[in-house]
Amino acid sequence: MERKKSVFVTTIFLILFALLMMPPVSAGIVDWINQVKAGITGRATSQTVTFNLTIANTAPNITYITMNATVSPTENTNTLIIVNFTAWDPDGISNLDTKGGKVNFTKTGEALRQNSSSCLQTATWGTYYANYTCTMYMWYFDTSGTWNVTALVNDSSNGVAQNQTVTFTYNQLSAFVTHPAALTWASLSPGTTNQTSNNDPLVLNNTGNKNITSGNVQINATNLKGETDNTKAIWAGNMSVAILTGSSAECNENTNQSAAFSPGVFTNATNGTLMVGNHSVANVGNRNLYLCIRTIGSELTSQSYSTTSEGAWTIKIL
Amino acid sequence: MFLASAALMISILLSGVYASGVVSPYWDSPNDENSLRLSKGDSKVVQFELQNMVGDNDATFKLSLQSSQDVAQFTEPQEAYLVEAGTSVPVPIKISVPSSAQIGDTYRVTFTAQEAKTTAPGQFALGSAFETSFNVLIGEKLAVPQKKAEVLGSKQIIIAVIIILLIIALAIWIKRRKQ
Repeated sequence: MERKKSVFVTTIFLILFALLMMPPVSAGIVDWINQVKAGITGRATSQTVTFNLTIANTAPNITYITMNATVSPTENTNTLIIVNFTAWDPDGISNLDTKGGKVNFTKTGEALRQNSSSCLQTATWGTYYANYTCTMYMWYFDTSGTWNVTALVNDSSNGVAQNQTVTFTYNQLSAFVTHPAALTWASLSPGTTNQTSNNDPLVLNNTGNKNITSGNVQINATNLKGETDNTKAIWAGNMSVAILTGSSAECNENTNQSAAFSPGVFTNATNGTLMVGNHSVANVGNRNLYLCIRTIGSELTSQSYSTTSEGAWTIKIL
Repeated sequence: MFLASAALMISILLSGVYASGVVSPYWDSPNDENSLRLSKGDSKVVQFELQNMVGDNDATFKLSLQSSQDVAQFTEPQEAYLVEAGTSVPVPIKISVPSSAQIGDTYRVTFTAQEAKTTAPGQFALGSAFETSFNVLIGEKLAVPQKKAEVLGSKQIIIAVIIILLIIALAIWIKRRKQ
């Protein structure tokens, strides 16, 4: 008797164990029982039984995301960012959309950065796991700081997995480019004053993502000495810079709009800023600088004047 | 070239397009969000990057560092840093916080890169320079996070209980069978 009992108990446990190990499938069990009941009424001893099985879809899950924790912008262009993630689907990898992965980047105050066709399934492993690789780009003018990453993937039943656990730091880039390649003055004579360039401005484009605020665009001007007779020079102190032009504004220090240079000293271009932006758009992310020679010394002779003797001028941003 | 005489045209010839830049890993921002946080006695190597991505001209930079109590030093100091056209060059800097630092102290680090522009005779040369600064904030040492004990899921617990019960039941059965 006792032996039978223990066999019974063991059998019960084995059945329970088997039930727990079964996959989560819902089936028309009640229908089946009803049909069995019908079978013992004595009518038919055999008949065709149709099972109506509905296998519920389970949404996939993104279990892992890898990417560089820090990304540096690239001057004047975009930067490629690779995001890899692993998706798990309990219904099997064949249920995952091979081209359905997406990644986007967000930051407070910034527009969504996304590429709807950026992800491809690059590998599968085991029965349930698939790897996706996504390519994204960030521009030189995108704001520095912490950006949030969202990875998504769909399955064939429109189940969606989403993971927002990863962030990255977009570094700060200070950069600029200048043009044109030549500045010219026409018909200058010794002893004349307030001569402005006839092809300025000297344009600075912000090719990074650092806002350069007022007072932080500076120029260190050197004296332009004669190459034949270096006792004669166009003195840096006789030249000035401004962000305005018209009525020789770049020459007139009294308006507090222009600044005269001091040789060897960084002089800020009064009220000059160089803000972040896509500088290919008109009047965005650039700064015009207008130069003036306030005094052409009457002692100057016809010769070449250059920076050879005292070194280059330098434009600095802080 | 700059020429001056009666009724002569003067021109400043800038040799091509000039562009370069500096990437910094820490910078000034509201609430010190992007400052470097260290504890007293700590040291960390941070990496700046010189870029010369626009145009066809190589650029040479001279670098300088200024910092409170000289907490910042170049790890591989060089007289000048050549950045070839279309490339970037990393510049590692070691930040060492003195052990005498107090919680709440702030050290200021300023990194300056100035293009060392050579001037050919008759030319007017125009170079670029960049200055960027950040704070090093001294705080408490962060505790090393303890590894969380693994927690079994409910399904795993049920399976474990069943297996144990099965083993017990089998053991009883075998024992009684022997008797």
